[in-house]
Amino acid sequence: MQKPFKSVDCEHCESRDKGIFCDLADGDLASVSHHKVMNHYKKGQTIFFQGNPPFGLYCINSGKIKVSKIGNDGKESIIRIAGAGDVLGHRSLFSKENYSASATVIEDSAICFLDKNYIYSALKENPSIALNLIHKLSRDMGAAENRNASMSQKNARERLAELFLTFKKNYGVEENGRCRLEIKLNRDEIASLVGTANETIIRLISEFREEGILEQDGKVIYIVDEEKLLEFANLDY
Amino acid sequence: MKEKLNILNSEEVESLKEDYEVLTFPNDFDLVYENQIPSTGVALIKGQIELIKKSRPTQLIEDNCLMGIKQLLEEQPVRLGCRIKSNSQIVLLGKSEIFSLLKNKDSKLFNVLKSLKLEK
Repeated sequence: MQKPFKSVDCEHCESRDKGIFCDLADGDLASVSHHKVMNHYKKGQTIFFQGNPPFGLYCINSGKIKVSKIGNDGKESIIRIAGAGDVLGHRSLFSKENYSASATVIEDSAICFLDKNYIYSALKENPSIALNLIHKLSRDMGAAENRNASMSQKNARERLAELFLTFKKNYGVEENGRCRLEIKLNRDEIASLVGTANETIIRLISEFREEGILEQDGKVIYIVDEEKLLEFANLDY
Repeated sequence: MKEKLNILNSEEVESLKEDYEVLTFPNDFDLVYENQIPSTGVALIKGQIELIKKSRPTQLIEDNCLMGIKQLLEEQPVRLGCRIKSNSQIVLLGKSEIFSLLKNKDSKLFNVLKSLKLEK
């Protein structure tokens, strides 16, 4: 027996103010709602696969997705983590190239799909969508530039500290004087984001705990001393 | 129990190839997972589609088949997942394409869609 499925209209979407359709009036949003398909994806399921052709755009309502590339050596490199309000597949769609990376769910997610035909016509009728897409692309490009610079200018410890600060900013929840990170990645995934070996990450996280910067409760990480983390990251905030 | 399929005739397949982009997927791809709503309908021009139940292939579909349109428009979850096998050639029909087709009585696909007895 099929479980009942509850789709959410765009007008009532929790991520409405973070998404590319945030400036649309309710009437225009109704058109988006009419054309979208919303689905729930379980952890481990793939949204799209590296090398395949794009055929639409994905908007994340909730959850977390990793965008990653597989190199010729079979090794996975995580490019970014996408969450509520983000879009996926836009770069390939608009550059008319096959997907350069895969998108895989790391936490159960609700994701909406809009077909290519509709996206192109919506962009012509509503310039605000294009502006919001440009804003997201610019932000992604900035983040990629910063990451590139970090890879060449910082050591693994500094990059890991920087990553935790980014997680705090995007996924941190204050709780009893410390900040709980609402993102669960395994050591391999953290190593991929930092660009170092798994063993180095294990050693560094252990050092951060000994320094009183982090606490761990099972798989949940808490940031306890942000100031020290900033020092370690060698950043000016 | 095998999934009931809509088989397209050669004229309908040619119409699809003329009017829509034929995509080739170099890698196996799960177009829709079991109990999800399809994001697009799919017409298999050449190649194979695997239907999946509880992560296991149950049925292999070959050329000239149209699937997922009814479930897409009626927002009904599919009973079986649909995996496009590598190097298959397919046409994907999103909601906007289907809405246009339903308004175009001259289209060779109009009768195919009408035969699905869509509720929306």
